[in-house]
Amino acid sequence: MLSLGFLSFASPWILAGALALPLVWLLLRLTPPAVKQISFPAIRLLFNLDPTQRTTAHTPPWLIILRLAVLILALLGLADPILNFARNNERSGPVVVAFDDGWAAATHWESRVRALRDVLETADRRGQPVAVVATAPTAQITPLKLQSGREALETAVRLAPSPWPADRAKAAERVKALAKTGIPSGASTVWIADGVDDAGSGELAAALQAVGPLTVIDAKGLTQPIVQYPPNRSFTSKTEASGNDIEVKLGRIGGGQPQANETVRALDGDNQVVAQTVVTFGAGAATATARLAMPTELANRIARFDVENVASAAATVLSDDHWQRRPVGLASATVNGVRAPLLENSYYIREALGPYADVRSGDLDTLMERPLAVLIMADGGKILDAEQDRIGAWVDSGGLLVRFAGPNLSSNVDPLLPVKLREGGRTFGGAMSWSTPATVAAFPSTSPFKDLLVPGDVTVSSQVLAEPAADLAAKTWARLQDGTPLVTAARKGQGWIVLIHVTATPEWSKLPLSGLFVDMLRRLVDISRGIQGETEDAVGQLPPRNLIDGFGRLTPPGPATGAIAAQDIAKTAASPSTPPGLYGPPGATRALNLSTNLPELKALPEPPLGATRMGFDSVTRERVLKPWLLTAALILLLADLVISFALRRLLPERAAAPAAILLALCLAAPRLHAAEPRRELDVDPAIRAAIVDTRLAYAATGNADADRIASSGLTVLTQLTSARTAAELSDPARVDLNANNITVDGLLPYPLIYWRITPGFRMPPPKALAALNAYLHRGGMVVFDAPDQPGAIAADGKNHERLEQIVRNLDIPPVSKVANDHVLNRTFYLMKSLPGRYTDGQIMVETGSSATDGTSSVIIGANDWASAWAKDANGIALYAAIPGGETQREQAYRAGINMVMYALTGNYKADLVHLPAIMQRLTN
Amino acid sequence: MALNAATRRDESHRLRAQADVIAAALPPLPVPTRRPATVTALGSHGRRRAGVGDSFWQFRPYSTDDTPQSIDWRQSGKVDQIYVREREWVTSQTAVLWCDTSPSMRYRSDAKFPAKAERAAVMTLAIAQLLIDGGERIVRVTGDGRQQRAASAGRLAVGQMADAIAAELLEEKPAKVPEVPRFDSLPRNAAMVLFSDFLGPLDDIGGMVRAVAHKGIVGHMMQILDPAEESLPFEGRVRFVGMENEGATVIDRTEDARAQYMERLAAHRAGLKALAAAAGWTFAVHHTGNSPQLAVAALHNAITGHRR
Repeated sequence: MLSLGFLSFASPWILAGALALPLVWLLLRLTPPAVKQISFPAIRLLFNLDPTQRTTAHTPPWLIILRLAVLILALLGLADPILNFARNNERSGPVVVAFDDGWAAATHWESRVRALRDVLETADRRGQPVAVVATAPTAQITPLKLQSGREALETAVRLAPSPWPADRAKAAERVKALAKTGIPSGASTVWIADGVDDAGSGELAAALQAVGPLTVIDAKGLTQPIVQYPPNRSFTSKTEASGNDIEVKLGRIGGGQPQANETVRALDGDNQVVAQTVVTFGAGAATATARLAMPTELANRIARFDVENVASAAATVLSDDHWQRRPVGLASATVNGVRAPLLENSYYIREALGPYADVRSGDLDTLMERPLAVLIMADGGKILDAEQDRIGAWVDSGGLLVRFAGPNLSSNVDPLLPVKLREGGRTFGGAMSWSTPATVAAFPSTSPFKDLLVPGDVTVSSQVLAEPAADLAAKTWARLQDGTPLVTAARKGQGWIVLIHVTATPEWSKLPLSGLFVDMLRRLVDISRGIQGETEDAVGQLPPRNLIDGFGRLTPPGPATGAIAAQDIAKTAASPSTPPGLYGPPGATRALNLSTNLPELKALPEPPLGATRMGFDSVTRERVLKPWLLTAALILLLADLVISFALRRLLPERAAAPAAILLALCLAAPRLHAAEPRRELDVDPAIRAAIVDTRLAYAATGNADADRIASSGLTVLTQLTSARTAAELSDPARVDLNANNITVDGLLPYPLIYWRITPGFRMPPPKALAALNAYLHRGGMVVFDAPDQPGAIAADGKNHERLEQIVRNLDIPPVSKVANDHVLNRTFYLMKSLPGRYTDGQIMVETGSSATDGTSSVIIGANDWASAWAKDANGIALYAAIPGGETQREQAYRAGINMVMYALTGNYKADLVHLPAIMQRLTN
Repeated sequence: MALNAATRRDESHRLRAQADVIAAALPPLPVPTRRPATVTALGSHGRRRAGVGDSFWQFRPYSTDDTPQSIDWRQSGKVDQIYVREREWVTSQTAVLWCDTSPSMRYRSDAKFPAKAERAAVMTLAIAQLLIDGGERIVRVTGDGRQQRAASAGRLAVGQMADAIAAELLEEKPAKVPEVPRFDSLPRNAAMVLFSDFLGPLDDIGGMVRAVAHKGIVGHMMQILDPAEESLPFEGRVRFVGMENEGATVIDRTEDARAQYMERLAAHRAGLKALAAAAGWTFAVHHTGNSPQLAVAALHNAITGHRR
C-alpha cells in the first residue's frame, strides 16, 4: 500500500512499468505506417528516385502522446489507486454492523444505505469479514453469521425500510449469539442508527461494545423522523353548513429541537390533494396539532393523510371505509315475509342522504350481511319479533336505528322505540279540524340539531305522540311549537334508537320536503360514526388489501401477509406479519396504521462510553479509481484505433462518421445494458414446460395401477389427437393435487385434467381444493372418471361415493346428463355416446354455465376411458373394451378426441354457423 | 481459352460501335502516297502507267502478243491501224495498324476512365474504318510483331479486326509479348499508325522506330496515357508494382515524389518526340480522360497532311 496524500495504490509495484515508457516512446516513433500497394504502368519512371526525396514517415507527436496516455492510464489503473483511503479504524478483524431499518430509518434512507455500503466496501477491500444485523424484525430470522463484504453488499442492496418499529432487543440477542460462536480478535462494530430510542437500544449498544469498539453513525444534525397520529374527525358546530373538523396531530422527538413547520396533506384515492394545512411544532415541543375544516363530502373523499416531503410509514395515515361514507341501510319492514312495496317511503331519505352516505336498500337480511352504521326503517311498521333480537343486538353493539312513524306505529308495536307511544295519533289542520298545522320549535340545546336553523314553512299535520314520562324531555331532540316531541332518541347499549314522529313522506308533514330534513339526517349519520368507530360489529377475517411500505407508499400485499381477525384489528400493532395498510373487503375496509400504536418518540441517548458518534457525512468515502482509469484507457485506445485508420487512409471518408458513432455506441452499450438488469423469472420447470407446449394432465391418484393407466391412456390420446386433428399436444403431465406447492397457477396451463377416481383416493387438502376451484372458474376443465363396473381396474364399487365427496367440495354448478345434441358429442366426431372401456356409465356435464360461455368445466363419467385408451410398450391395448371390442375402442378414442377438442375449443361447435353443415351430416 | 464467344462478340460490337461514332464524323482517309507499294491490288492510287484499272490511259498499236479481246474496235475502225486500249494502272496503299494490348495498357486509375487498351482499340478501329472508306488496305500487326491473318479491305476487314482486338482484350492472361515489339515483316513503303503508351525503355522504342522507318514506312505514334500516369495523384507510403514484371518499388511519401516523376515523364516524352522527328514520323498524346473524337480527328489531319 503506497500512499500519496489522498491517493493510495493497492498494487504500487505496477507503477514500475512506467520505466519502460521512454522505450515505448522510441518504438512508437519508429513504427512506419502501413504500405498501400498500387499497380502502376509507368513504374519505370519511379525507379531509383532521388534518395533525398525519401522522407521518413513519422507518427505525429500528438498521436504518440495519446498512446502514451493510454499506457499511463492503464498502468495507473492496474496499480489500483484508491482515493480518500481511510487510515483510521485500522483494526483488521471482523466488522459487525447493526443497521436500523425500522420505520424511523426511512428518513435519510439513501444516506443510511450509502453509509452502510461505504462501511461494507471498505471491509471488503481489506478482506475483513462482516456481519450485518438489521434491527427491524422480519418474518423469518436467520442466525447472524460472518460473511465476506461482497456477500453482505449483495444483501444490503435489497434492504428497505420496514413499516414497523425496530426490535433492538432481538438484534442484541442475535449479536450475542454471534459472539458466542466466536469472533476473531480485532473486531470492530458499527451501528447505523435511526436516532429513535426504544427499550432495546441500550442492550444493543452493550452487545456491540462487547464485540469490539463501537462507532455510531446517525443523522446527526439532520431532520428527525416525524409521526402522524390518526386524525380525529369530529362534527363541527361552528359552521352553518354541516362541516367536519379534522384534527391532525404530529409527533417528533421532543426536547432541544427548534420550531418547525410541517405540511400535512389530505389526499383522495387518486392522490389528489384534498386539503392541506401547516402544522407548527413549538420549540422543543414533541407534538403539534392543527385543524382542517371541510364539508363532509370532501372529508369523505380523503383516502390518506401524509406529511409533505416526509416519505415514511409513520407519517402516513390511511383512512378506511369507517372514515369515509357511512353505510346506511334503508330497510323495508317485512310483513309475513312479503316485502311491502313502500318504495315511496324511502325516496326522500335516499334523495337526502345519497350525496353524503352509502345508502343501501333492501330487506333486513341483505342489509345486515354487511356492517351498517345506520339503519333507517322508513315505513313505520312493526319490526317482526324474529328480527327484534337481531336489530336489538346490533343497536347494542353501536348501531344507530332511525325509525319513522306511520299509521301502524301508533301503539307500542315493539320494544325498539325510544319512548312509549300513546295509542292513536294526532292530526291538526285537517279538513275536519279547526286547528292549524304546527310548526317546529327551535331545537333544544342538548340536541345534536341544536345549531340548525328551523325554517318557518315546515309544518306538521300529523304525528304520533309519546306518553309523558320524566325523561321525555331529555330524550327529545326536536319538538313542535306546542311542546310535543318531533324527534326522540334513546341510548340502547352502545347505540341509539331514534324515532321521528312523522312519516318519511310529505303525507304527515312538510319536513321531508325541506332542507332541514337533509341536515337532520346527516347529523344523525354523523353521530353514528363515533359510535361505530369504537367497536366492530363485523366478525371474521380481514384479508390484506393494500399495504404501505416503509416509505409510506401503497403496495399490493405479498403472500406472507395474513388476514387479521376483524375484532382484533383495533388492537393490532404493525409487525412483519401484520404490516400497516388497508384490510378487509371493498366497502368495509379497516386501516391498520403504524402510528396508532407508536409510543412517544424519544431521542437515542448519547452512545455509551467509548463509542464514537458521527454523522453520515463523516463516513470516509473511499473511491476505487481502477475501473474509471481502465475505462478511460480503453476509450483512448479505441480512439487511437480510429485515428490510425484515418491516418493510413484505411478508413473511407464516408465511413469515418459512422465508425465514430459506432465507437460511441460500443462505449455506451454496456451502460445501456446495465441499466436494464435481466430478470430471470423463477418459474417451476413443470409449469414452464406446460406453458411452452400445450399438454393434457392427469391427477395423481396414489394408486400406481390407476396412474399407469391414466398416463398411458393420455399418451395414446395425445398421439391420436396430434395425428387426427390440428391440435399438436406434448406429452401429458402428472399433477399431484396432494403436493404441498399446488397452486392454481400450476394447474391453469393445462386445458384438461383427467382424474380417475380410485380406491387409493385421498381428499386433497383445502388449499388444493381452492386451487382446483379457481382452476375451474377460470376456464379449466376436469374429466372425472369413476368406473365402478365389476372387473374395472382400481375399482371396488365405491368410486362413486368418493366422487361425490370431491364434487361436494368443489364449486360446480348443477350437472345433468349429456344430451345427444350436446357440443361434447360433436366437437370433432359426431358421436351418439361417449364410450370408454365400458358403455354403461352415465356422463354428466354442467347444465349451463354463463361464466365459461356455456362450456362445461367438468365432465363426470364412469366409462373408464383411460383403460380403453391405454396401451403397453408394444402398442398393444391393455384392456379389452366391453362389450364392443375394437369397434368400441375406436369409439372411445373418438370420445377422448372430442373431449380434448371440447376443452380446447369450448362451445365453438355449438355456434349456429355450423348448424347447416352439422344438420346435413346428421340427417344423411 | 475459356473465353465465351458471345462475350467476345459483344465486346467487339461495343468497340466497333464506339469507333463508328467517331469515324462517322470524319471524311474517308486515303493515305497520301510517297512511293506506292508494289502490291498488285486495286486501289485508288493511279500509277501513271498502263495496267489494271478503270480509267483510260492510252491507245497503242496492237502487237502480236496482245489478246484479241483487248483490241478497241471503235478506235481501230477510224483508222487502218489496229489499236489496243490501255487503262491506267491503279493500286491501293497499305496502312499498318498497331494497337498495343499488353498488360500495362489494361491499366485504368479510376472506374470512370476506360482502360488505355480499350481506348486504343476504339481509336484503331475508327482509323481502320476511315482507311477502308478511303479505299486503302489495312494490316494489323500484333504485339509479337506478326501480321493479323484477316481480310485487308472492305467492311469485313474492320469487323474481323474488331473481333481479334476484342479477343486480345478479353484474355485473362495476356500473351507474353515483348515490352517493345519488333516489327519484322512489314510491307515496304506503307503507312503505319501506332497506338501505345510508349512507356518502355526509350532505347528499345528508338530501335523499333528506326527499323520500321528503314522500310520506308511513315509512322504516326499516338501515346495513350491514363490521367493518373500524367499526374501521379497518390499520397502516402505506396508500394508500386509494375504490370509487366518490371519489379516493384516503395515510395514513402508519394506526394513528395510527384514533381520528380512528372519531370521524368516530360523527359521521356521529349525523347519520344525526338525519335519521331528523326524518322520523319508524327507523335501525339492522348489521355483516356479526354474524348477520343478529337484525338482521331487530329490523327486524321496528321496522316492526310503528312507529305514529305
